Amino acid sequence: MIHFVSRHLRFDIVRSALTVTALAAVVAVILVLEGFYSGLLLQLRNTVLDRQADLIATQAGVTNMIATRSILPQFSRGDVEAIDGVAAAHPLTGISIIYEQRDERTPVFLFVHDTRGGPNRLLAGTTITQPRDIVIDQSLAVKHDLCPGDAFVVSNFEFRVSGIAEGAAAFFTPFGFARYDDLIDFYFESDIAADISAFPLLSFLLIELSPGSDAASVAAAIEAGVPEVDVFLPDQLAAQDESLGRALIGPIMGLMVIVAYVIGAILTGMIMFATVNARRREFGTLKALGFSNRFLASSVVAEAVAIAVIAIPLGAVLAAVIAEFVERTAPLYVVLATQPGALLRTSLACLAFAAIGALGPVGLIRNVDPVVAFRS
Amino acid sequence: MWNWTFKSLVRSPLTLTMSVAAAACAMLLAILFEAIYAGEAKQVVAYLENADADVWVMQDGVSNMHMATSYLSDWKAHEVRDVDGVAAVESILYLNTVIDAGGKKWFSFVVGLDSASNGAGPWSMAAGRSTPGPGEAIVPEVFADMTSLQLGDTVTITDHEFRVSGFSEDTFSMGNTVIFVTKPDLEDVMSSLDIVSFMLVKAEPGFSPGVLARSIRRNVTKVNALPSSEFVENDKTMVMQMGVETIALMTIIGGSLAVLLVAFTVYSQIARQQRELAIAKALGATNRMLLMSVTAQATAITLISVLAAVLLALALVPLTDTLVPQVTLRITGSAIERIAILGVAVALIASLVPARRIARADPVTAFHA
Repeated sequence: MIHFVSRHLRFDIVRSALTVTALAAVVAVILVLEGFYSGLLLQLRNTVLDRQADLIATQAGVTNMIATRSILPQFSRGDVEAIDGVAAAHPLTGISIIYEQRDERTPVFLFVHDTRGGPNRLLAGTTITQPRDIVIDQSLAVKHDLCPGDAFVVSNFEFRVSGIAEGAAAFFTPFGFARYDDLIDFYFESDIAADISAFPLLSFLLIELSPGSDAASVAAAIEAGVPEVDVFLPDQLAAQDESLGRALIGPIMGLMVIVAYVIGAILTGMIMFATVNARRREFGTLKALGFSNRFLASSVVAEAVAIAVIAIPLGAVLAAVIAEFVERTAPLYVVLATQPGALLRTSLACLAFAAIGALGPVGLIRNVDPVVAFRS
Repeated sequence: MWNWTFKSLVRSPLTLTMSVAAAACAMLLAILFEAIYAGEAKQVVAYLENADADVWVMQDGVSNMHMATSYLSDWKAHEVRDVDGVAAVESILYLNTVIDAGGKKWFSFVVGLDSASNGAGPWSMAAGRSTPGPGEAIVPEVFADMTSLQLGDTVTITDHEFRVSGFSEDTFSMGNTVIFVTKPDLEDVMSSLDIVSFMLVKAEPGFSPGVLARSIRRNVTKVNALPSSEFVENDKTMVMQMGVETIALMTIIGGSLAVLLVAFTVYSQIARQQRELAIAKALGATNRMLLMSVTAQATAITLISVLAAVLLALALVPLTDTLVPQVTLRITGSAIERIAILGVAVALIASLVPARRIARADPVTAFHA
């Protein structure tokens, strides 16, 4: 049987190569789509986890870090630091800004920090050392061709790029990082409101616990003592942001993945039908020589599975190459194309498509009259 | 010759159908990606397009609304009103945040309206009142359906609860859902007083929006003013620029798959007819005629696939509206055109391999057993 299948696959090598490549491409597309979605969710998680806090305080009623606006009273920092078990509460503000260069606009989520909450990994340049320094995500640097030392003008306020961060983006939006002194200068220079307290100055508190403190009990104590804030474990807030991402992006990505699976199913069915249909005369000959319908049907299923077995790893490699290409050319995105779960799911689906697709044309084999073998 | 070409094409209708279906699905993937972004770009500017303003005024240095932060002192509205040619000014406060309805969260843009709002509120209502009162919110009908909200139920914006007093139409999308509340209520949510985000300016008859915008910029300090058409275009362009990488990426992926499937389909179709083509050659058909037949079949398969993909996409629009209301699809002619051109080009290239075989084929092979 193996010899029979192998001979047939090698008989028309161009056709076999096209078949395997087409199926591998379907596998790659499914893996890239799933990886794109997983990457978006990972970015949402990391936005919270990269702030490196033991606990995170938000405005009461605010349960997310990304895509929301949290405004804490300025005195809340002192109130939180007064709670037993809290070593420090580092302020963090998040504001949406639009960076514009040569008529090209990019929304940027600006994290304004003081002693904690800045960029996690730098690719180039330095962290903020001078007034008006800003660190930007590499996707923004690539898109607008920015390097350390370049000017970065927002609403007529000029920052200077001091560093380029890696992995500082989420929700299709790159991050920037600036210091509080510069945010206040930014507000004053804009000269648009007499009272600076009208502007958001404190969004979150990144809470550092004293050694030996229990995070859950300190969180409960803060919420009891400072009613203006809600307190979350970073994992909890990260999970909530991920859940929001699933609600917003999940339906679109789900639709795309379903279409990709449908393509996979149709493609496999088409390949197997075309394969059997083209070999009716050959099947007639084999039947005339005494081969059973069962043997011939099994050979078709085996051939389909063999094609899938070759296509799946090829598709995974192709997906990894595409993911690498995407991340290099558009670093705003993370594509986790070869995650074990997605790989297993896609492989099983591909094998199932192959087996089911091969069973379809079995009827064709059964109906082949051995006489066709002797027609000219 | 053309008759034979047509007969060859439709001789095995099941094979042709499956070939077309597979290629069409791959093309559909590429069309859908662009349709999602085009739909989203349309929804992002739905509020701006429907708001009754000739000129928009915002913080200096800001030139669009979507995801932008703009703060203006509310007294600037008086200065704007005093500019020659201004008929009326209406201010709004604007906040992007997450709202909660029955535990279901959604990213939204909350617009705070003056109590006597004329042109900044919802433009089409499905039910309820079109102007929110204190403690009330007008939410999109689609969001209400998703979360089983009824009039009189509550939604939460940060820690403030609002009673739902109306369901608006055409205000929902994945990235730009618009909720309306009163300005004082939104000031409470934002802990901000005496500031506004944007001003909607109506021009007196005889004043063009462009001239009026320039006049406002000249006469009022630290503000930017743009004609409504330019403001809308800025947001639309920004969203498409945000999506251009994703569209390009997904189009390349979907397009590559379509390319492979078209190549596979055409190759299989032509390869199956090799013996017949050899007979035709033996009967006097020239290589040129056979090549024309092969390329005509390749082009026909591709165009049928494009047509099938477009029909599938058009069928998916109402289905998606019902099953996945979060997704707004808008199919554009440019997307279809690109896919069709790419597909035909690939089909022609894919038909070259079997065509070369035909050109080299010895007519005698037609008579081999």
